[in-house]
Amino acid sequence: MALLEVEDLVVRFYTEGGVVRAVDGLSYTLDRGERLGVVGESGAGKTAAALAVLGLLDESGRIEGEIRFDGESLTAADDDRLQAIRGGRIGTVFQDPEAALNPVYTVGEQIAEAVRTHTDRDGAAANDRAVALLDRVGIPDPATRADQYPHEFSGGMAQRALVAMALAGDPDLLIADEPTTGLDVTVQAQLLELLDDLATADLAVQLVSHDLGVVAEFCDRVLVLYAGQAVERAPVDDLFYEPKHPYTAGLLRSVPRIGDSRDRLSALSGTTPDLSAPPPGCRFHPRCPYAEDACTKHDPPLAATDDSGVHRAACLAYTGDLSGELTFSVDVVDDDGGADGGDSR
Amino acid sequence: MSLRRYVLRRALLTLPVLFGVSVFTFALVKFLPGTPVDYLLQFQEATPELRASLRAQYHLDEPLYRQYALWLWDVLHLDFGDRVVSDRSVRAALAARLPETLALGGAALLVALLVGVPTGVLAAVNRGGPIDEGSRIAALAGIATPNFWLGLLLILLFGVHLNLVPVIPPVAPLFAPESLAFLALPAITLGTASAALFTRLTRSAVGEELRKEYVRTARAKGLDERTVIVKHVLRNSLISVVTVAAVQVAVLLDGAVVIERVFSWPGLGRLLVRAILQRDFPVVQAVVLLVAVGVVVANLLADVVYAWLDPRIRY
Repeated sequence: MALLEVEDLVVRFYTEGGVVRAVDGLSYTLDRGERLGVVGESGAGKTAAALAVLGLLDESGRIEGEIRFDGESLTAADDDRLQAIRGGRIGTVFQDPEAALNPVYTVGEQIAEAVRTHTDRDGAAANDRAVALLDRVGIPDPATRADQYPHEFSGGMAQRALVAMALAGDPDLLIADEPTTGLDVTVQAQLLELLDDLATADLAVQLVSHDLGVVAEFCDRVLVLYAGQAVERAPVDDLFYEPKHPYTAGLLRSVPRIGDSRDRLSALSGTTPDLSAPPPGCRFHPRCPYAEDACTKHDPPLAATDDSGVHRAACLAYTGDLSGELTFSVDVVDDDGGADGGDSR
Repeated sequence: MSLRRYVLRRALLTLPVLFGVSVFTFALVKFLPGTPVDYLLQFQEATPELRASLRAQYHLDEPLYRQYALWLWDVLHLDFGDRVVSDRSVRAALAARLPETLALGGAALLVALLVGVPTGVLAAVNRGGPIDEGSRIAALAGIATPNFWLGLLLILLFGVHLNLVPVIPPVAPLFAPESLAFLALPAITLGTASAALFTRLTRSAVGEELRKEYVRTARAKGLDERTVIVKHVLRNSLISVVTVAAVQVAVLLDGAVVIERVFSWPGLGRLLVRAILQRDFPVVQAVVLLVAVGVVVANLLADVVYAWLDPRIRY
């Protein structure tokens, strides 16, 4: 049984501009110890899907579908049960670490609070545990740091402190929502290294990111979201070397690479559709260079692209309904170099 | 910087303000038409000798800066001179009245905070619900009602019709139970407008804080909603409430002048009104000075609480 099972998740936001379907029929699973990357542009529903798992959507957000964690339904769970799971079995790290910490309490207290909530430790024992957690996430001089306030922390340090907080209840799953966004590149690398150390067989990670490089480096499996729907799902290497969905291919082409000889990056034309009135049929068709008449009428399912069914993409090309062919290819410059144009390393 | 150094620096910064207040209060009497001797002698026949001796007693023949220095020296020793209308010292009159006004003002501020802040929090948490709408209407009514009129209504209802509280101040020490029972109505009357203000202020501060990301972090670590609101959101929201509370001290002292009349409360306000009517200028001067110092001290206290609430202020 998978650790996290999401089935037909729909997240609607009721706004003054109408009902926005931020997530529309999303299904995925996450096994114990697995690292799943969820990628997409802003507005693709990555964060809404992650918050839905924790029951942390705004008041205007409504959920349909089924979310099961370790076999237990989270959609049916009451507040007490959800509070025990949040921070206890599912840890969370958000983007913008400095804003995610409360400015008026010491960092140590904010971690100790999570320790007290989810373990038997109290008082001094909880504080000691907070210091130990800060030490574990690589914060130097943790005892002194624990007594400092968030404004005395740099962004990278604050994000480490949030990771420490997420680990307080010894969770089985860590949901990291754009954990490296806004951090310096070197700090990003250090943080990924830390997550890499922490993500063992006992800790699965759902990494939400718009940064394909981060996902390629860290994840085992990738889920690509577009306009609230999954458009491609594959093991990380398959996805990056052989993308099957035109959107994924477009995303990959828009990433700058070392040794790139292109003068101009090819950006996807058009913008993400308005989710209060999404286009009919395949939601990507207005931006898709291969779109045909059929694409405006049929909403493609997430179909197998090979015999094993591991690599799936939501395109009519894989259900036999597309008369043309997908002809894109992606040149990958990997770390060993080797692409023409010459990698400098 | 430690909290102690911060408080010390703040305290030093009040000195120029206090100096300004003292100059203004001293000048107040100088702006009155005629000389103080005219007021002193308004109830008796004035012989030239008496005038001369009074001028000497009040240093009125000295240059102005010296008069100020001598007056300030006395004030620093809590000597405000003698009253015009009697032989009692101003200090004795203040000593009798100050605790009464402090009790009334303090109780009113307490009523305002204890009613306003929780109502504001409930309104913000139940945004758009019946509690929010109800509190908004109540707050609007509270701000719009003149306090002297509210006071009369409360006396009629609770004192006369329901006969729950005495309508004239009991002859008892300030902190005796019957005095505290009598204190309830004037405190509510004086505190109502401020309570309404605190309700609206707290509601908007809490509403703003609720949108911040640390709230989501607090929920994500599994805290119950009560802890999220009371421990995380409220403390951040109180920063703006404290700032306004300091300003409200001045408003409450101001309001006390009227409310003490309505309730026959033996405080500074009534003393001040009578002193103005009787041209008892040393009393007026002393009360004005005292109230001004009170407001300065309240602001200093607010700064201290502010720094205690928010560690970023201390640095």
